[in-house]
Amino acid sequence: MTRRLIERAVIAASWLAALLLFALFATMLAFLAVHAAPALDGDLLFGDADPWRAMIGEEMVWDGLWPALVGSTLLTLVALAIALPLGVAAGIAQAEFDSPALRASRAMTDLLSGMPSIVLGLSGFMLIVLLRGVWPDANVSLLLAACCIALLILPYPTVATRQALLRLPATLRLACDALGMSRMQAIFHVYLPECRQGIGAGAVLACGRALEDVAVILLTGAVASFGVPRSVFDPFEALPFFIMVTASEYRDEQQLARAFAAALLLLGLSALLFTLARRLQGKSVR
Amino acid sequence: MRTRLSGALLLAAAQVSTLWVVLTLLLFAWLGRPLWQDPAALASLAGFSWNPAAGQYGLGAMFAGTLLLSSGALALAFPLGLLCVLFVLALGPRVLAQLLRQVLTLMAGVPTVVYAFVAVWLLVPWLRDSAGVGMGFSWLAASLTLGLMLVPTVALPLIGVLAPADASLAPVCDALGISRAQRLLWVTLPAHRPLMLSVLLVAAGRAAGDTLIALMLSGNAPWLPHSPADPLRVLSAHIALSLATDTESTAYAAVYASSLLLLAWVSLSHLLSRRLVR
Repeated sequence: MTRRLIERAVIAASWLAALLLFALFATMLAFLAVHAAPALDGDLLFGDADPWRAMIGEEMVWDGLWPALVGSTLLTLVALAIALPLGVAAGIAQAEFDSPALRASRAMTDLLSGMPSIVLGLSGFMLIVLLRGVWPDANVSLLLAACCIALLILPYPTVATRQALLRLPATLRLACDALGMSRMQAIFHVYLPECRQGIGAGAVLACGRALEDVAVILLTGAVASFGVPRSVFDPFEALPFFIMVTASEYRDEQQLARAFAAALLLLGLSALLFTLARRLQGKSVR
Repeated sequence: MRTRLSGALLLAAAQVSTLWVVLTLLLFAWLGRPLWQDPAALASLAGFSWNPAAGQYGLGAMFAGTLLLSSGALALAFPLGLLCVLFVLALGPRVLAQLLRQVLTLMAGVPTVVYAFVAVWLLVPWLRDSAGVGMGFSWLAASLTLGLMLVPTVALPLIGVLAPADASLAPVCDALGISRAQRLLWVTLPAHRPLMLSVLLVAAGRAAGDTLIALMLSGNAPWLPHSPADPLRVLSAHIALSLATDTESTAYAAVYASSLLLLAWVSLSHLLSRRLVR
């Protein structure tokens, strides 16, 4: 009898929970869309500046999302360029070889994936403080932020590669051995091409993580207003950083609306990357 | 020759994460010297009073803040996540269950800063004006936001493991005349207690490691809150705030102590959760 009651209560509660979640998610989207609406026009990216001149860097964009969008994109690409080769290599080593050092590296990859991003940002910042002792011009920059973000996302390609390799059928390995392939030949010509979708999914998830993180770049080079960075040694603007700054201080209603539009844009980009990663993951498992 | 070189390169790449973790710890230990060498300041770390001007660097309130915020968020996220799992797996109609699963997946992809930003303009004014919660920026506001963010963290891994496990129990339970809801509630869930605890710990680690929601919503007052309506400060936000305001001093060195403490706490919950599912 009591069990019946518990079942009834759980069913009712789960309906409530599901409806609550739907309602909250819908409210969040609607709230974002309504407040972003005033900024969603042709001037969203470039403001008063001429789009073409702004794109080739002849004109500063003061009231548009362009510099933040470029900053975020550059940051993500540079970080991925560092993390992807490193992560794939580390994943291969962890899956295909075995030694005490490699077991330790597996544990450390786990630890790194759980490391709070603010701690990663702090360690990058400290590195610059130390570097200043040798080279006084050292400063926080796009390159430093990208390196720290690369460490933040390193576990994604590493784990994706490792797991994709471990999932390969034993028959494939036997076939490679039977053909007289060396281990390296088998890895680079057979196993890796076979794993590309799993690795791709890891890389895309890494991009999503790199795009959204603020705590790392807060300490390593993101600024509220700089324009498009000219080199990797410049500070930079970023979409999530712009959103965070605007939450505490903003010049006018326009900037606030622009931050809502930035949040919507960031949400859209993240959703896109996530969907893509799911697709790839689905294919790699099948 | 080339084989050995590429082998060595692979092994070197695998050690980058190890290298960085060790380097970070050494860096913090080295840069925190002003603090380790000053016995009075070191002793004050364990206290609850953060007052650098008076030489008191108590991190107690911040550590307690991390625990309070995490437990507040988990108290919301865990039951809600679990109920969503039940809805998706058995209790909801198929169409709605699929839809909820999609929404959970989408929510997992929503950037933290977007949650925080929406909460600043939607939740905080509502708490302040309609619910009468003081300033609005409070333990409660941060807990609710963080809790919502963690629902997919709790629900998605559970769905991933429980869905096949539940399906494999279906023939036996059907033969015994057990309904879907009963099967899930009295057979599948009890069989996966370690997994649930492990998911809880993962969520706890994420809650403690999160900086943005705490920084933007908790009010950041460096003392203990008396009620959920009061502001609090957590370790991660404390690190960000100290760096923004301070330069070379012992208070600055206390940031390394905060980082080490935060790192220890997050790593502990991470390790425990790994242990549980192994």
